[in-house]
Amino acid sequence: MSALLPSCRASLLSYPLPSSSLPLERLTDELVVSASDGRLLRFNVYGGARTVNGVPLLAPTSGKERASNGMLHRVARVLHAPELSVLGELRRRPELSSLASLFASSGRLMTAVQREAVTLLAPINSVLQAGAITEEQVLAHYILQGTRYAYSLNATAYSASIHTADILALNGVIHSLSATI
Amino acid sequence: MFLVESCEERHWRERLHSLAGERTGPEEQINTVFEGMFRGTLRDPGAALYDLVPQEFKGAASAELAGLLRHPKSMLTVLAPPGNLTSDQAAYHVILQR
Repeated sequence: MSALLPSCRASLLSYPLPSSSLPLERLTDELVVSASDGRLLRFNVYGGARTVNGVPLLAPTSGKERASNGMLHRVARVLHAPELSVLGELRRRPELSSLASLFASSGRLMTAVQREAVTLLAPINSVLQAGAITEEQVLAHYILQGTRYAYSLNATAYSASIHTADILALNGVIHSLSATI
Repeated sequence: MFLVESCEERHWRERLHSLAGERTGPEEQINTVFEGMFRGTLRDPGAALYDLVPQEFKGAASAELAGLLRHPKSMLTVLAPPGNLTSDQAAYHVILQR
């Protein structure tokens, strides 16, 4: 070691982490990676907190995260994988069929929810039957840029209206609403 | 640097030699050891993920996945939830890296 250190001293401290590990600081907002079974995981950063598929990553406990062959991150609960796109989830859910009909008649709405990293706030049928909303209203208020899982919507204007939170999608997330915004 | 120099020379020389037989290149071996020393985040540079994951996770992992968690040349990220999970769920909680 004494022979090794002088020659390595300058470079040792500047070595980056191995490119193959995923420490917390490399889990960036909207990072999408494949799990070992090929299904996708989406990481998000909200303030200083990180989530994966909307589930919080727990604070590290000292010395128990890094191993010689990788990293361990603890998550708050078991993760579920998205299966369909936002549009696909909208179409397959009977309680959202009224909104799906509105989307089917609007190319602009269809395009808006086919982007990567999108959040759709989706009023359920009974809400739309009570009072219709327009394409313009949906574009302005019901489609959000970025994936905003329920974790990030706590104590916002949206949270009180959420009927079913975190309907996972391959390109974002849907929250069904029991009231208009 | 004082951390390095205050460590017992023999202990760390043995650690490096041990890793040299398991890892792919000298930079990575040195990096693995010294990341732990400087950042204090590596409890044991030789510990595999299999030793760190919760017991429930080990129980759910398929034989193939358990092998990856043990293998010194694997490079994985494990997202460990509390409680029990199925084998399929365990596979979804592991990210393989090159």
